[in-house]
Amino acid sequence: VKDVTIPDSALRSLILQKHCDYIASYGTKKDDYEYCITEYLRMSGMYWGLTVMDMMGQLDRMNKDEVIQFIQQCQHECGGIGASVGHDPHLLYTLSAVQILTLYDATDTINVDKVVDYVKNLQQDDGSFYGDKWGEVDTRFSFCAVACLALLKRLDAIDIEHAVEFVLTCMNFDGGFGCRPGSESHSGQIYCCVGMLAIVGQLHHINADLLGWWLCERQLPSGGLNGRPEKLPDVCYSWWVLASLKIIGKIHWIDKAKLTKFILACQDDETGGFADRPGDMVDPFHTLFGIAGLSLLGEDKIKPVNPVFCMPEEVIRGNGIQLELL
Amino acid sequence: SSDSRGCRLLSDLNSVFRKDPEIDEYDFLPVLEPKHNRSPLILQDHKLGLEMWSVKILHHYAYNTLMTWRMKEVNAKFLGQLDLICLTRAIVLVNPDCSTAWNIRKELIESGDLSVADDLKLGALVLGKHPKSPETFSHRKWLFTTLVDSCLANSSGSTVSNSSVNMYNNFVNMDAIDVNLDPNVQNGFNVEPSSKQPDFQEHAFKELRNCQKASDKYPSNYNAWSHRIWVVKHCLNCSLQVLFGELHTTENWVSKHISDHSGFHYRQFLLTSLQKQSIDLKEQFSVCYKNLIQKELATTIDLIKCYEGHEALWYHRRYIFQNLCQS
Amino acid sequence: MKLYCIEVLFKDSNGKVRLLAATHDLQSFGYFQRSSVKEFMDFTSKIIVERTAICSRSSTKEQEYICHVYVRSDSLAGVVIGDHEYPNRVAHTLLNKVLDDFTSKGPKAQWSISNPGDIPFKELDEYLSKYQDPKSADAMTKIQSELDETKIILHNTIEAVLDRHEKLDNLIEKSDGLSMQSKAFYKTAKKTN
Ligand SMILES: CC(C)=CCC/C(C)=C/CC/C(C)=C/CC/C(C)=C/COP(=O)(O)OP(=O)(O)O
Repeated sequence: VKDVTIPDSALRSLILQKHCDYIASYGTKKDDYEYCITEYLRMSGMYWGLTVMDMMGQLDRMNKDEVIQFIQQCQHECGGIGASVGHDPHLLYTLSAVQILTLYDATDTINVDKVVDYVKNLQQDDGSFYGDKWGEVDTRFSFCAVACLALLKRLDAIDIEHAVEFVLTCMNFDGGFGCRPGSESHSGQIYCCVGMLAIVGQLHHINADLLGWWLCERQLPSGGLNGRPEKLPDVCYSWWVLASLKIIGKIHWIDKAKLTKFILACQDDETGGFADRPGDMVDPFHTLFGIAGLSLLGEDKIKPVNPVFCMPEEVIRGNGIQLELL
Repeated sequence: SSDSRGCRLLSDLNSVFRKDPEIDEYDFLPVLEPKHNRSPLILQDHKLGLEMWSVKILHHYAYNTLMTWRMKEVNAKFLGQLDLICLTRAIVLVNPDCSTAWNIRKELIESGDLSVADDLKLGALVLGKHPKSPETFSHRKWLFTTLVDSCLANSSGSTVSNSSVNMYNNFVNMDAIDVNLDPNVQNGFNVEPSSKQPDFQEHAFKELRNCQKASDKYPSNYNAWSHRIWVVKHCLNCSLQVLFGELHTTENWVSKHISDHSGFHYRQFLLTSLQKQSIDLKEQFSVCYKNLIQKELATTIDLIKCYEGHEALWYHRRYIFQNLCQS
Repeated sequence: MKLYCIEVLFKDSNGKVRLLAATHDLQSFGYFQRSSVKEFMDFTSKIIVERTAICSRSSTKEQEYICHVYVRSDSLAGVVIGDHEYPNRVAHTLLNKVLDDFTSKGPKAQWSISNPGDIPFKELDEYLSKYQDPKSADAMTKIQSELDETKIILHNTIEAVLDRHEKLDNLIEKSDGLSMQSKAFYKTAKKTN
């Protein structure tokens, strides 16, 4: 079996404060090559960092005004939002921006009507969504569109029925979903499709036993989860897989103790933060999904996370968003 | 000074590509510090090497120059089309997921300043170094859609720009295709290019091979395999000829990549597509779908026996059984 | 599945190891990396053979690769490096065949003084290409009886093969078989990992 072995020296407890410090200092190294090379996804990077800070109870350490101003600068004439100033608008970053503004209860600081128009105009006749005006289709974008509009309470703007139909054409015989009709099942895509169906209240289309089985087969002897058969475990799948299981009501099919041990072993006790696997370099992406995974596993030093939006449950509830999980 | 260095590196890079337009591979060399009087760019046998230290400086310069221009800042340099082509090339070689750089190239194609064929070539080069780059594959889908549109416009003599799926039917004209199921015939590449569309099919078939290369470089390469499915569907219209060809080429590939679930899934896609056309299959090729799936079962059982403990093989077997139960 | 190299080595009574024959298939590596990959494979073969006892077999994982080693009772040793898909059993059967074949090429007395190429063994290339496909090499069925798989010692990393006080980084730093470029490749690969 392709897997990792957790070293004896691996951490077994949560070093929460170090993670907060890691995220707080991440954005201060702006001249770094790594910082420069990841600018094309900055908006999502900020969502990862801010959300994880909120879940660890230290969102107030981040500069709210600066963040909101940045988002305002990233909105384009068409309504869509780019990853950073000068970058083209895309659904991926439009969702991240809306998520951040929701955390800050500040969606009124951008032109919401234009965002809604942008999302709406990207829907195609078959119900699918383009990621941006250039026409790539992917079930990730179906999730982005629906999640974004749900947070803005404007789901009425799109054709939900067709959107659902399209997502269902991406379902495979194994109960999973891929990026487009006929594409391989992938835990990340499954999260998007299941999350999308949860938001619009159409989870009954899912064969929860079949999909749940496939998902819990992602757990490896090390306790970690992979995203597809015969791939290495990765902390981010603790989120994509576990959240999907939570949504379809099968989270108890996972060995929680072993997964917790794996996630904790991915912490770096020197720098703070989580890596994809024990011993690798940490980054904000894996830090969010490590923390969010632990939250789903019941870690009480972290705020409860909403399995669909990957944001604190209190924020989602506070916005009056109702979700029906299986 | 780092700026002037970056500027010089960019012009060195440009001249290397001018000198050798057939560069087919590039890599970053583990040299962390500049050495006196030596260029950090090496060209050997159509392979380009860039010393590691120079990559950062080059990227930094190209990226900042391009972004200042894109943001229309007052102090932004004027950039002509050729500058843009060179700057975006430097950026995507280093950071192929910078979608804005690819988008600027799309704009250059739309304005007629860059050719689709040249950009397909650059993307193929990039995939050699970054075999799973999602934005590179995404850009290529756009290039192919553009190519189809322009071929359609040319062939009908009208200004059709709608690329609805039905119109692809023109491209794979089953009657014009030489029916040949001899396994020695290379995977359907014997399809005659129809006179109407000069080299669209050639590009599409080449793309299938590009996907194969990317799958060789990175195991279970999700983006490469789902791109390949897209090409078969949207550029080759799932024609029986192509499906057969692909079924044949990937047979040997999967038997040597027994833990690559994506490769097996691709065969599931091919089989499902053939199943959907099983009536035509029977009529045109006298092939019974059931025999195909049974052959797949036999091969898979054989592989399971030879190579113990591979989940991918068992998942494939699940598909086959499910499919057998249905048909 | 892939086989990258086969080597024949001799381990003298002081535990020193000398290379007698080798062949590589490095086409799947980048043009600029091939020479370093080759040096690393030779380096790895050597340190593992040095640390493998006479009359024993081992398979050692190192990232995407597995290094299979067999040191025979007469101190002749064979190494096969492949990927994780390549069946251990077939790799070790191949080692048996290669060492038997090599033995017939020249007197044993020469082993301790020969350099690569001194004892001609061009069949090695054929083994490497034929065994790329273990199924058609007809190894699968026959060998089950020949080889006791439970006797193969499995290691999860090269570090596991080393003595307590040894560090891989130090061994690499000290090695004369590795060029500056290869050492730099190692360091940069480690950093980005
Ligand atoms: C609100 C949140 C948390 C997310 C927004 C919604 C999105 C964009 C979710 C992305 C889900 C995801 C990870 C999709 C998978 C994308 C994909 C097909 C990746 C290909 O991965 P591999 O080829 O498996 O790459 P690795 O080998 O590196 O794992």
